[in-house]
Amino acid sequence: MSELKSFTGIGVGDGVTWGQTYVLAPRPTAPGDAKSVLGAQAETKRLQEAIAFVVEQMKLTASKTDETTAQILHAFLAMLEDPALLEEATLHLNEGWDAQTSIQKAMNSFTELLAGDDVFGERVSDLEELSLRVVAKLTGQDWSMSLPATGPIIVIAQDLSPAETALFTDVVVGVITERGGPTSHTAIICRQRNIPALVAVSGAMEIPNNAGIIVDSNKGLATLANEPANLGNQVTKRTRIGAPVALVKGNVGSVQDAINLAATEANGIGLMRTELLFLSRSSAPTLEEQTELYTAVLKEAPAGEVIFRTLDAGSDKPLPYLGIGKEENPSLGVRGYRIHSLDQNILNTQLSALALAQDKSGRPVSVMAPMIATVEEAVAFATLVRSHGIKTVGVMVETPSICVVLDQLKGIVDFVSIGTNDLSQYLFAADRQNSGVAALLNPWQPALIKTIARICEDARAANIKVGVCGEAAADPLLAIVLAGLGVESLSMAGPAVSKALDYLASVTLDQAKAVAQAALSGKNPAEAKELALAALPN
Amino acid sequence: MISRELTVTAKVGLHARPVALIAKLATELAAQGISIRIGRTADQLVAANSSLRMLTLKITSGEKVLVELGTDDALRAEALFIEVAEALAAD
Repeated sequence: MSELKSFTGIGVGDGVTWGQTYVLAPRPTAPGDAKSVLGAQAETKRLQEAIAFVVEQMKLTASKTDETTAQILHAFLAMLEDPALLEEATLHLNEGWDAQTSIQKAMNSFTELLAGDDVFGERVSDLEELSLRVVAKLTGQDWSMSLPATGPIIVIAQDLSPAETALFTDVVVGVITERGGPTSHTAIICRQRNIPALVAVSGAMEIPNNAGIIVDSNKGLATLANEPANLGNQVTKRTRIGAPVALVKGNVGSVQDAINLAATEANGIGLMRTELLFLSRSSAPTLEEQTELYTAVLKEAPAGEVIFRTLDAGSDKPLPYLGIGKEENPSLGVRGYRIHSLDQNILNTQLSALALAQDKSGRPVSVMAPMIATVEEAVAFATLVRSHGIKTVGVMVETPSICVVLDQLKGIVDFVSIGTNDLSQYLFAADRQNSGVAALLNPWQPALIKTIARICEDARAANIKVGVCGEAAADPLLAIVLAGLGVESLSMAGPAVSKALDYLASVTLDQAKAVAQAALSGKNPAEAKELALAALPN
Repeated sequence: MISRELTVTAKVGLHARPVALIAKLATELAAQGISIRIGRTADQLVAANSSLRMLTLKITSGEKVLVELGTDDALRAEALFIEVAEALAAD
């Protein structure tokens, strides 16, 4: 037994918790390859029945668990019921291999093709687990989890699959796994359920069973401790005490998104991405097609302001009919509003369609342009929009250049919307697609928070409303910070709305301001987050 | 048959959600007698009802794919290509 008292890994989610460890039993093992004694026909029947059993179990588990886990399990089910899987397995069955050997060989033929790639390689362990479940059924091995009836429990495992996390009951308050990364299923599910977790913890399997342990996902640290003393701040569920300190709106890209959003508590749409209609075409969509789409979105959108963003495309989101040639640096090239200089028709048609949609739906439309870098561009855009009969105009704040001249936008635009993803990219000179510089794009970076603080100050002085529509808005603690800095509306994907409202409605504006000031005094992302957490009232 | 070249814009490429959405669409279309195949080139198309086959194409974000629909109804095809494009953009 190891003498280690503490263990480090990658922290997932926000929080500190204490519980008794429950070390998961090791997984069933697959026997070696073997030929069938029953004959191909009987083996095929065995295999089909075993697959059907695993499918049923998984459907049952999926029906009882949360949305995020259920979606992942359904993706697994699609793979298990994939016609190609049975086709491959049949080849091996016909060569005389038994059912468990055939399914494994079939699975291997797919995992071999996927391995070695960062993104596609992640599916390998999923497929291996599915195959193992079928094998376990065929060989009569049990694969279940019997959690203690009372908690608090910290689950310790080498790795966790969605099927296993789906079986967690409320007694589970924390998770530690030896494997897994920040985007693994374990991480996604634990983050969604607010279960503090540590993944990629070396030495995790040396943690004793039934021992007390503290899991601190902020610090990425787990420490053996008999009692839960000094847990510090735990950020899990928050209770609403009043109105939210900022409006919460939704980001959408299609009519279906708008329909889904209407089922949430979102106050209108903060970002309607108009590109999708354009991306599937070989020529620009007509005025009629656009008008129909925008009208449908306005009809389905939840009550509140609806903000459309004009075409945000560039050589990386290629529209062949735009005539942008290949660019070395698409993110620094002719994109967003800059397309207008190449082809005046695109934007004009889009604005005409939006004005028509405004009339047909009876709902007023707000419009903003992406990638605005100068006051001149903002003036030209605003003038054009108003000439089409649309009264509420804004610009996205993504380029550092527009940040420093916001005072000159007084009387020109009604609002600005901060696109934190791209603003971070340009502010830190770090490519969003490059995982080598990912740390710079952490929305808790002090320079980004300070920049947003200044944007809010300058905008307020110029009577301009400020909204945020980047990913940062969906981080509930960061949402409080943003509200405290003066951001009046936060727009995010539908699923993030409820949690954001829980947080934003759990504090007063003064409290949010205090949290914001605390975050501003942090010298690095971890410190900014810790200070913000410490300033959060209970 | 009507084919169209579309770009995969989802961050994960032809993976996870996009694959799941397209496989679901393929199953629905199969019930209506319309086939759908997808791949990098016309001679390398795979049946879109198989997530596994689509995954092993390992198509990354930004790549173009050829989508072939087993119908001659141009209007229907147009609407379907939009659905596929949305699936290919799903994050």
